[in-house]
Amino acid sequence: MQVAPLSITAYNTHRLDLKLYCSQKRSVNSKMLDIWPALPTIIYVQGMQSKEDVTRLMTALRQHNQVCKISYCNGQFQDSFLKEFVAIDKPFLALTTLKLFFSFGKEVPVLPDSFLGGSAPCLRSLDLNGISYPSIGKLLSSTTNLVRLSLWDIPHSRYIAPKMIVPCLSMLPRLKSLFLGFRYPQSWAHQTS
Amino acid sequence: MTYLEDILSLIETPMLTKSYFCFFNQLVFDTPIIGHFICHMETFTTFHRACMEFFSWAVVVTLLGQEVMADDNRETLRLEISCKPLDWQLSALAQVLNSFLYSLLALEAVKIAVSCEDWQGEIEVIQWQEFLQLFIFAKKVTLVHKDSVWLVVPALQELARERATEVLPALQNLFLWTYGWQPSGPLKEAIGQLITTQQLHSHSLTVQYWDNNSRKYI
Repeated sequence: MQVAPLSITAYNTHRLDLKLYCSQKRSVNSKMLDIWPALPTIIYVQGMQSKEDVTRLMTALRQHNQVCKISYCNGQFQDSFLKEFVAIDKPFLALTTLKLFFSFGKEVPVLPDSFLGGSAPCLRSLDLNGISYPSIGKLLSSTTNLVRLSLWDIPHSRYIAPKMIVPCLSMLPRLKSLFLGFRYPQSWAHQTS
Repeated sequence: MTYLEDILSLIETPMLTKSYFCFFNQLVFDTPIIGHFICHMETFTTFHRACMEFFSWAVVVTLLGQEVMADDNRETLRLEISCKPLDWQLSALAQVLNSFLYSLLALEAVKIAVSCEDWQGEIEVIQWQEFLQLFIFAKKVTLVHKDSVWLVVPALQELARERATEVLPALQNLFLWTYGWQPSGPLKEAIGQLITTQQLHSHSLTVQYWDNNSRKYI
């Protein structure tokens, strides 16, 4: 996470860029978010170093109706983050972009049926990497504006059956890009290395 | 593979313009549904250009439509097969391409780049000959890196000698993109024989080298 508590920048007469950064040094607590105006929130996470970072991140995520973009790529604390994130079983009505990149671990992270409250009607881009989401159909039934769907590094043991995902794809009239990728089997990697 | 075939058998994608398939290590590629899928896509019915890159870990083929403008890659099919060594890659690629052979009939330009460093002695000329038969209407063949020249030219020479122009009857240009390196000794001799044999059968063949200084073929 970046440093700086609050920055307001006037780029031109038409746009006011308002940013709220959370960091270890200058923490922004939930009280500040309580008075934060109901503007779209972009959450970009990389390089989290402590559990406190997870707490701050969750504070922002709990404003679920304001969150419009989430980009998470962080090896550390991914389990504790995911546990808390999936516990928010409310719909993310303003969410347009969701990227979750999880690194290889002993246990494959699994997203539950209630993820994002099962509804993200504004979602245009969904990237899940290294995560299993067997009940993705429920979410996709609400994402009629989806343009990009990427399910990458899917573990073989947790794949989504074609008969389950294909009917969901047919309900996505704006879909332009589809990426489906499986994790390279470890046994084969050993054979060829 | 089964998963991919199941997906493809269930979907229709009339608007598809780009597709990328990546296959893991396997010995036999029996891919009728993939072949059917590609052949029945209007976008992929006819490919005009093919680029095959042999890396130490995989072989990648990129098939493109007709080049309207420079770097025009609007209609692209890319296939990657993760396997090694080189003879396995060649065999796997031939099997996959054979499943949609009809779409390769209009291929005019073929580029082959072998970047494996450990190919020596592991592949027979006949295997390249069989592979090259897939590109029967190729007018232009480009060999990138000197390894590609070492591997493909003897196969072409053998083909020209044994079966005259049966295998690549349309071949007119052979480009060697070898970064300043030029064949010598037996390889140079083989290229000369290839040109002579083609001429004997009333097929002129031009061989050009990439010149680093002028940045064009000479």
